[in-house]
Amino acid sequence: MLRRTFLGVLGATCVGAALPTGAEAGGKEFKGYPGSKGVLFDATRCIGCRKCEAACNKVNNLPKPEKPFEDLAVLDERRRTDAKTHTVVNKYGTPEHPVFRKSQCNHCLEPACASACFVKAFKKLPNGAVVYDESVCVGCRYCMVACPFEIPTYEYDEPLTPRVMKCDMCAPRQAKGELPGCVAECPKEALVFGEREELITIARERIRRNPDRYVHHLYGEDEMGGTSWMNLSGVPFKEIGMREDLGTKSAPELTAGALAAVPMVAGLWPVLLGGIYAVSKRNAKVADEEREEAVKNALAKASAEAEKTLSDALEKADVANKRKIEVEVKKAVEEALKPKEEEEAENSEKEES
Amino acid sequence: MEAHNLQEYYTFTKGIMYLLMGGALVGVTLFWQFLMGGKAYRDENKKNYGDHH
Amino acid sequence: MSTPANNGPKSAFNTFNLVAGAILVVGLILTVLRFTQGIGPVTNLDDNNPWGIWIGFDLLCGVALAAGGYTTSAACYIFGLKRFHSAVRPAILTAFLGYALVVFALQYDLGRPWRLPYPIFVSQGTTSLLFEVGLCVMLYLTVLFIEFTPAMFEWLGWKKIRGVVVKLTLVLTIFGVVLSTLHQSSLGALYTIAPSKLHPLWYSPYMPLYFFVSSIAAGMSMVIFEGSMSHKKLHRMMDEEYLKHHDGVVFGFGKAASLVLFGYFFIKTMGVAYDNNWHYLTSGYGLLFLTEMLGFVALPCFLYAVGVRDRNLGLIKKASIITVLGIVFNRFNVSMVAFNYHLPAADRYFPSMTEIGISIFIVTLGVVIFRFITTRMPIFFEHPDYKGDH
Repeated sequence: MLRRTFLGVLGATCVGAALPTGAEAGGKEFKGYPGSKGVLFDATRCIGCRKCEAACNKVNNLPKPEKPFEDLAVLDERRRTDAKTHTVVNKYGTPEHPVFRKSQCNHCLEPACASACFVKAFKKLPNGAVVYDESVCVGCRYCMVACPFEIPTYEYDEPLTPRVMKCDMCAPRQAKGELPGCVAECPKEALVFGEREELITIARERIRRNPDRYVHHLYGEDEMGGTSWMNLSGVPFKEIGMREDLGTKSAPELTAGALAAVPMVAGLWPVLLGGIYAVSKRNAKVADEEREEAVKNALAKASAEAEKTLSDALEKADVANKRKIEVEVKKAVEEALKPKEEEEAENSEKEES
Repeated sequence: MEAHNLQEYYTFTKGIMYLLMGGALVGVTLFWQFLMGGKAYRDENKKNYGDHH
Repeated sequence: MSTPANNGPKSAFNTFNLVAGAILVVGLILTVLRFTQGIGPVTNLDDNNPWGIWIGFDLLCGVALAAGGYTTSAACYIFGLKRFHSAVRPAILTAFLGYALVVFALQYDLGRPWRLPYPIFVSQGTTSLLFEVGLCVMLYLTVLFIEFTPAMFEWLGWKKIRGVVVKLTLVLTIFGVVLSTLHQSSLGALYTIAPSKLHPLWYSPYMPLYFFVSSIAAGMSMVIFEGSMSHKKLHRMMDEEYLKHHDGVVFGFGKAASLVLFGYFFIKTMGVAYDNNWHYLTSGYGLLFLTEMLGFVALPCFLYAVGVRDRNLGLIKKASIITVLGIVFNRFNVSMVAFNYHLPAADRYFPSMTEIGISIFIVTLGVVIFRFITTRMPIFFEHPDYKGDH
């Protein structure tokens, strides 16, 4: 698919808000919070032990799953995050050469969930975590529609107080100076926690030192405007269930065009519609006046003609023909007045409708 | 206001945009009254309408 | 027949009452289930498919099909087409009921429905297109209610306040068009945030425009369709004024809808060209897209045109039904069929019986309230005290 150029165009106003790549708006550029944290996942190191899943479950006080975390047979089926699981590890590749990939919230630099939320329930914290505030959540689930990584989940079975559930990069633990649960438990250092800038350097260094071991791409550096959680892999990312067609445009940029058109409609539509109203009213008035004028002209013409007939007749007349003339005049006047009556009748009919 | 990402920046600027939109809608109503509420206008040339045909 | 009286056939409505009553009872039971058990047990919604027919049909189609309110009042009061006057009241009533039911239906879909005012009064997420939709729908519902009140005041005999509201007609109409433009288009813009989930044939940066333009055709077709339905069932409530102008309204809107559909067909095609999506047309989704474009846009456009040229009322009514179905088809495609097109079949969504049941319940509720109001208030007839007063 070709990368899209987003032009927000709405109505006859045709407002274009083409934004250049990168989180820019009106010449302003945003680089995120300085020193914000992130995690680097290296799929070449992951052994699929599910210890991160167990740790996540424990630190977030989530309900115990049906099958214990030690049961690795779970890996044979494709799973996604759900209301009771903030992170899952899936197995890809061949049975001889399995590749494992951990998925959780990627903590976008420009979160789609935050951009989509109409109550600001999502927030990107200075430490890099994207967190959710259930105290304002209405439960519209637009965040789930918006998320390109299909991460937010919903407590569908909760009748009264359902929440959106997702990884918060252990923001409360981070505040205490602790590592995220999954990172702390990983026995293979497949997960590295640190400043995002540093993680990018580390990832590049790994690729440079082992160019044959890695796909030369750091997934999350630019995807959807960049994410705090980034991934390295030895096989193409497509093969470990990560979409490569997401593009680098962030969510706020995707909707910028449509949002930019909104105030233009509010500002110009009343002007345009008021104008159309004024013109159509004026036209109606002019048409009315023209009709009146035409009626008046017809009347004037008719009476002039009648007068002319009368005087002509008078000139020719002699006393003996007087009665005959009177009859003729009467006839002429009647004829002249006929169109007037008709038009008046028509006129009043139109006014009624 | 200092924003570190586009999302925060837009939240702020769009908020002001919405306030302005409200202002524009109320304003245009009042301005319309003002614009249309002048002295009644008598068209001096209206006799001519019938003659254009 | 000039003065409306309740002397029409009563027996025909017994079946209606029976069926409607049964649906309402079932609907109430399902409502209890939904609010005691939660969304999960009664729907097929899941983490991959957070929006089902309660959004795809009740919200998207409901709002699009209620567009008759702003199109009719704009035609009459802004463009000065006075012959549409008798069609304004039924259209406003339909729109008001439509929007009220959209908001009502939303209560089922929201996780915590009592928080619906939060986006406007508690925490304003101004970057969300859904915020825009919510704000506009709230304001427009208010505008529609005020526009509808003259009929109520005439019924109640409150002359003074009716006079005040009637003076606001122009302002309300213009606000109505502004708000409708905004939220109709924003419903389309909701999906601009998810290019990776919506099939490229439906995803386009022009989506807001598509939703807006198609809503105009939908609104006018709905006025025609509904007019013909009401004509059959509520003829006894119609006065000469309404009946005299009815055919004129049908031909006028038929012509306008044809023209709008013509434009819509081309801007949709231009969207395919804009993203160079031609090659998708040969796929399965391409077939679906072509069906939508040829069968539900080009065809009714042509039928409308022929109907208007030949003064063929029957053909225009058929075209209006096809257009209405086409809008439903389009909204279903955007919100469900072509949404999550990348997921394996097992993860795709199909509505549960409860979801369908609730949607039917809400539509029935709308018809019952519409009947209740039109058989009492001056909607299809002019109140004798206010004849010719507009």
